Amino acid sequence: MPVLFKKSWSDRLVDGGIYAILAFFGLLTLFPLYYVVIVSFTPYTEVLRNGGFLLVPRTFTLDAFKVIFTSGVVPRALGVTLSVTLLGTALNLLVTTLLAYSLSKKFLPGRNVVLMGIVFTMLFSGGLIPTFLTVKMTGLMNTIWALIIPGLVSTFNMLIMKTYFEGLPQEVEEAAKVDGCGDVATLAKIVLPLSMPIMATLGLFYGVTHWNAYFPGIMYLNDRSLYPLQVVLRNMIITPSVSQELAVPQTQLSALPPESIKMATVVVAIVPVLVVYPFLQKYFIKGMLIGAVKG
Amino acid sequence: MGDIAAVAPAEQGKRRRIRRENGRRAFWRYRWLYLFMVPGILYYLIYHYVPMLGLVVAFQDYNLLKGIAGSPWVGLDNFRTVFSSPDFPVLMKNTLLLSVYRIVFNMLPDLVLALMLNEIRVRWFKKTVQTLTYGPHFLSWIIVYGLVYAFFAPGSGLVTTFMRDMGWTPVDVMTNSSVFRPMLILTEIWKSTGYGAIIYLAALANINQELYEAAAIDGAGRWRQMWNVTLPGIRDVFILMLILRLGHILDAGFEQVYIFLNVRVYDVGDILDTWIFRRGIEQMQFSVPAAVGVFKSLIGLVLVLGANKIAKKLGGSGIW
Amino acid sequence: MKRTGFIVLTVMMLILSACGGTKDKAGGGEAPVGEAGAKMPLKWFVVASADAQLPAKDRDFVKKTIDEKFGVDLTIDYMPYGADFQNKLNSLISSGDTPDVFYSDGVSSNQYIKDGVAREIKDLVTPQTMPNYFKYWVSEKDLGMYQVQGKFARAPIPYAKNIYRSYYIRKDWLDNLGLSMPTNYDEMIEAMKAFTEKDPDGNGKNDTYGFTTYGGGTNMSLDFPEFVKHGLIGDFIVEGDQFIDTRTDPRVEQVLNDIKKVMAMGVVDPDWLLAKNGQQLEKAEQGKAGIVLGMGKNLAFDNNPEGLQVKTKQITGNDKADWEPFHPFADTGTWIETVPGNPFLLSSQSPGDKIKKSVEILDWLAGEEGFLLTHYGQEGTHYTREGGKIKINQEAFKKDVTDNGNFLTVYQWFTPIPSPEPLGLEIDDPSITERDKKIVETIDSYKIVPSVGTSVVVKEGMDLAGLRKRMNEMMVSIVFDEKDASKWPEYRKELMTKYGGNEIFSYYAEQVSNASGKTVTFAGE
Repeated sequence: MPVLFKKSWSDRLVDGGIYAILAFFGLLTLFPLYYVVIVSFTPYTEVLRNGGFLLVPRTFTLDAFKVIFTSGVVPRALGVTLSVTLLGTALNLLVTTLLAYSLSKKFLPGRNVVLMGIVFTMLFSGGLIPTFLTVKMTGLMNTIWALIIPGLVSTFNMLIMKTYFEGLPQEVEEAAKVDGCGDVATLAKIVLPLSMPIMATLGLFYGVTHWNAYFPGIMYLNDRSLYPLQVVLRNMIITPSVSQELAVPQTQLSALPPESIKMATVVVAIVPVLVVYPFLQKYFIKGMLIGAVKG
Repeated sequence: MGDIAAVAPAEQGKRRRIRRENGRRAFWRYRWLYLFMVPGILYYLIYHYVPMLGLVVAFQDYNLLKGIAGSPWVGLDNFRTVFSSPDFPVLMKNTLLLSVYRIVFNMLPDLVLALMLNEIRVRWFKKTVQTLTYGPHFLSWIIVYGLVYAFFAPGSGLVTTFMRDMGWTPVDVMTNSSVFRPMLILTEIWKSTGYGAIIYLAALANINQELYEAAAIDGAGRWRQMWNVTLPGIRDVFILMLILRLGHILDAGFEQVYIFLNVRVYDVGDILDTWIFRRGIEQMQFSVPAAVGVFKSLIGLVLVLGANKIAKKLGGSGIW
Repeated sequence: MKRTGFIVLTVMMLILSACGGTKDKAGGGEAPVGEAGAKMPLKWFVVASADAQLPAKDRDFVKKTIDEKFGVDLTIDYMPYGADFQNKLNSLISSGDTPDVFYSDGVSSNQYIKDGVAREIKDLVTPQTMPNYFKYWVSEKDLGMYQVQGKFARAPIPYAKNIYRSYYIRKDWLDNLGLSMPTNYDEMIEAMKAFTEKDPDGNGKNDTYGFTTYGGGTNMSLDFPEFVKHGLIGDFIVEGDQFIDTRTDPRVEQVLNDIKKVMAMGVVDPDWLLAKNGQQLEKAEQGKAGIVLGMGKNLAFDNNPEGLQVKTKQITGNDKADWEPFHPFADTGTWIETVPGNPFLLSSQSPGDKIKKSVEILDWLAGEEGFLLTHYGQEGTHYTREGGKIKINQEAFKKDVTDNGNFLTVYQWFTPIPSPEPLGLEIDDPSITERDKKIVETIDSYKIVPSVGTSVVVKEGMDLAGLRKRMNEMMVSIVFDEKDASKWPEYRKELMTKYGGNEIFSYYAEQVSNASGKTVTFAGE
């Protein structure tokens, strides 16, 4: 954070302006979340009665959430996704950090070749079926690893980390080397503690990707008990097609509110993500304590 | 910055010679660094380079059963199919325009938001705004579309009805060609700025406090400090993001465009990917989308290489 | 702290690997074929509604019945139809894991046949091997017309011959305004006008429209009665010896002019173009429109909780709301015959005995025993039967089926038919009223025009999607942005020449000629 010794009038004005703009933007972005939550707690007939849009709910129902949580599949899928997120993110960070650290050393022979090779993969992709075949060939089909390994390193994230490492002052590492630290110790004891902001950031990015993952689940898993959360949630949204009438006796058609369930699934998926973020934010506030290290 | 890297040209030549002679020795000296890279490199080889063989489909008439090994070759026919479509010029124009808009108008708000948050001292306000603004990123475009529809639907939209009741002519946001692209950009800003700012916030947190203190001692006010300390501190991250976005320049945000696209705005909103998608509904296909993919990738590659060179020339550090 | 984190990780990895392992052995595994008396493992890939879930083996009485009766171990993989389904199926095929039987659609099946993925079924799907199929659902003639590329490789799943397509109108609004049921086009327009201008729901607000429909954001809706008014019924018809593509026909000029007139009157809900399928019914249910087109036998039944009647009453709070079916062209032709729907395909990569077995099972599903089991459950437990009437035991059905993942819909992929009538049976549904029966009678009386009798496909190199897109663009441009439809002939020419319409539709005409034996041509530009 910039440090000011004096705040003039114009500075205060700018401050005020910044707070105002941020407050406005915050409200603007709060709005859709608010809407989603409201609809998830309202019976759909009420929503439709208001022309499909609701600001202040008049009736309140937990039905949509009941449907979701008593379905039996959701708690299990929640467990799957939780495990995959934690384990997956840990592995992501591990491999990415190791890779990014080495690639941040400009003097390393072969570095440029590897970098170009990696960036190339970001631009060129074989496509759905070849990737599927590879996943199958490496024996990951129908296992939890199919949700983790194919996305083990995100080039985007890796490059961000590499850039970050490159921005760390050399003196710190040199000091460590002089003190007799090898590469492993330097990375673990010196660089990592200084990299908490980036670790938190990429941890969040990777974690969120795992949490929201839908596609690998349906492609690589046949065993429905391994289905992650997003797959299960999407399946809860009943979409009877007009042309294919459900061949169920009329009285058995349940009058479940589709829109409310849709919104409820969104709430279930989003809430954890929103709750986690403030905890990670503290890593952004800590600046680097170069002075202490130097000493 | 680096100790070995930044040396005078004369010494550079000497150093390069030394490096090549000590091939084996360098390998041993940096053995840990090489070891660190092994899991990552293995991953890329197996899960990216092996599937990349699939790119040849762009040059084949892919047969699902015969696979890549057995499908006949058609050279550049698939590319010709794409380029000779009467819609192609419009598609390219829309794709490029939309991408460029996205790059310019999405990167800046991300950065500005991060900078503004950085100026805030009231902790709880900063945390709250940060958390709120990053929320919409997790809503699918379908929901965002639903909200825009609820407000701006030509007949029953809330804003539309309000304007009509007031006696004004209702604004046509969803089906008007001149408004369509700006509407896409604005909704994108709303949805993704909070999330996109995170990366800059992390970079800002990394800036050495002492630099600020030194600047303040020199009498620098807020703007001076920003110009001399903050912006240079995140310059590398910004350049990286820019280069990466350029690499994806022909990906104009398919998901969003597809959901908002309607027949009245095809002339400004139809992009390469939506054209491909529609084709896929009328006729199952692998070869033509693969060809488009190769085309997009080639252009992206050229831009990335170019941008990287320019970035380095301008004094920053590129990707390599 | 790092060390504990590491331990947690290792433990989790062990747990997850164990989970993955046992799952592979226990669930979904295939029984080895070689053992004596072993069950033949079959793998099918089909569609099911999003909420369907097959229960554990012991509670899936359909699987038990099938496995025992046919000596197989049937594994069904299922998901809602869409891009994800396609992707998964294509991945399975390319990796050598083509399911023995799989569901597809017209476009994809054409490709599968071309690539040799679909097995030739000339000797497999015959009245001898599939007696039920031919007895109740599909005739040999229909099957013949269903083929493409000169091969015999796909067959339609049993489909309902009557799709009950009709306009519905708010009778209570007609009554409020002192109007009678429209019997022709002009009266229908008059009703629309009245609904828009005369406040039929009496709430003092000018918030109702005469007509609503959906364009999906992509096209002119064929719900507009103006198409049928000018003889353009359905998507393809044969007039004399001419093949007609209704949407690019020269008569579209008059159709669009008429539609413009109607829209200028302000009687059509302005949201129609962007509305997705389903939203038009919502508008109707919200009491925002008085006429809407709907499909389905029980759409306006008194007690259908998902239907127009119940929903409208619920949402508007008006218990007098009454949707009645009507059609201005009931005597001259409302729509084309229902054409066979989507196909099922048999894998060309599976051994012959598995295919034969699968065909047996499919035929059983299409017959009385299989149909009843997969639609209504087990006789005695979930329903009782008296002669030709089926009476459902609601609680038992709910407990064992609906609340059990609604799993019967998975097996119904092959017979998505809402009622057992084609089998000569009927459901004794106490919730059906006299009014409901009248509705069915009315719609049954509509005249249906013959279809072209075969499905038509495009050849390599033809860009049908490009043509349709431009066509939609043109139509919408005329309707919304141009003074009148006078540019249509010019547009049509562009579609036929620049966008390949001549070739595409001539090819279609050729296919119809081959299938019907009568020569049909297309008059292009």
